[in-house]
Amino acid sequence: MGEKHEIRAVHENNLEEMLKELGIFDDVREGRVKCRFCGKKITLENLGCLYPKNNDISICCSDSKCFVQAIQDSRGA
Amino acid sequence: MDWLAVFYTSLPWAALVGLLLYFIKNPEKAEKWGSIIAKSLSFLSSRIERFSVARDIQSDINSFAKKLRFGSESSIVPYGVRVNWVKNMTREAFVKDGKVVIKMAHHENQARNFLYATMEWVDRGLIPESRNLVDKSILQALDFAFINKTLIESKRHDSKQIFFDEIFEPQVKRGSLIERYCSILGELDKIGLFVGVVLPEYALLGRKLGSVIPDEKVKLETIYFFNMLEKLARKRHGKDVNPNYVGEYINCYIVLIARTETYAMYGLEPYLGFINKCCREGARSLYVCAIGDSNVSVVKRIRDSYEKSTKLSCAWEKTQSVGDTRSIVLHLESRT
Repeated sequence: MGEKHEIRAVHENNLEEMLKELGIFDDVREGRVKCRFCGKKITLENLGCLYPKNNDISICCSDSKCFVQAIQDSRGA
Repeated sequence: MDWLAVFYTSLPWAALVGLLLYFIKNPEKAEKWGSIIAKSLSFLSSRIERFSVARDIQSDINSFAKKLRFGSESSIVPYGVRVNWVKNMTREAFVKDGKVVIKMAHHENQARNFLYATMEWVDRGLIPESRNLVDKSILQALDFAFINKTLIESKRHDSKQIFFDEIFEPQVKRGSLIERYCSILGELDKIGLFVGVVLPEYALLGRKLGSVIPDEKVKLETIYFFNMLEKLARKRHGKDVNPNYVGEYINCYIVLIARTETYAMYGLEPYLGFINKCCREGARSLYVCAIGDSNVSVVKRIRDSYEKSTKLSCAWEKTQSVGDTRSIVLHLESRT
């Protein structure tokens, strides 16, 4: 199969490192980040995905319903 | 004696070369074996663990995607997947990149990893050229039906359970339009038409219209076409329905080969006569469909009789296992 769609992923072992790199680790650790869809407080355990939106970083929790909304929201649907 | 020794020493090399050629031809199988080996060694390092998680997902999705690239048909899911691990990325690069980054857990939680990767792939990769042309509710139903099919074909029953419990059932209300659409697609899948007709025809729409800005007229046609498919899905044995749709953008004729006795009594003549009549009426895209071994062989005879036709060309044929039997769809396209 020729062309591949790239699925970007971060392994949970590397999540902390990535959040530090993005400058949002302290916000997550101190409970200042909420899920864009359900408003639940985001922790390292319940983080589901991250994506850029309006020049900012949006985060959603690991709830499947929120994940569905996030992939639609990420492409502007 | 000497040549026997040469034979025995070269045997492992020949097997190795054979295996190598097999993996070059079927890279998704190499991915699968890579993931199995890596999984057993994943306790050694986090790099091997990540390799195992990624290859396991890639091999199953890519195997399924490969099955859907038949003949000239490659626009249903033109892309496979590649899991790219993100570790270091600046905020600027992340915002500019525009992509979702999914958190994936250890391979013990691979059911959820696989489901999320599948959903992201389907959202971007299923009939990509037509997604903005198809009615929103139909598209949602196509996505759900396709995710379900991917999980079944990949034997990911644990992922399927999460999909139904956490996504499908909470989102799709009983008696809703999307539930009705999903049920129709399920019926069509039982006779091989979901992959054989529905997806190729919606994919064709994007190829035909290309860069046209979608308007309500196109979306309405996708609904009318679906309404025709509904009649086909609900068709009772012995009751005829008109399985054709002729619109401005969608022009689709479906020829069902259902009665073996017709072929036994009259040969191919009634089918060829019907197909030629469809051509005279202006058919551009014809799907000859059958289920069951004897009907499948009738479709193959029809294909052979159109091999040298100047009116129609055989674009592709797709054979699938459905329940205990198999189905076939032959796609004929007008040469004019």
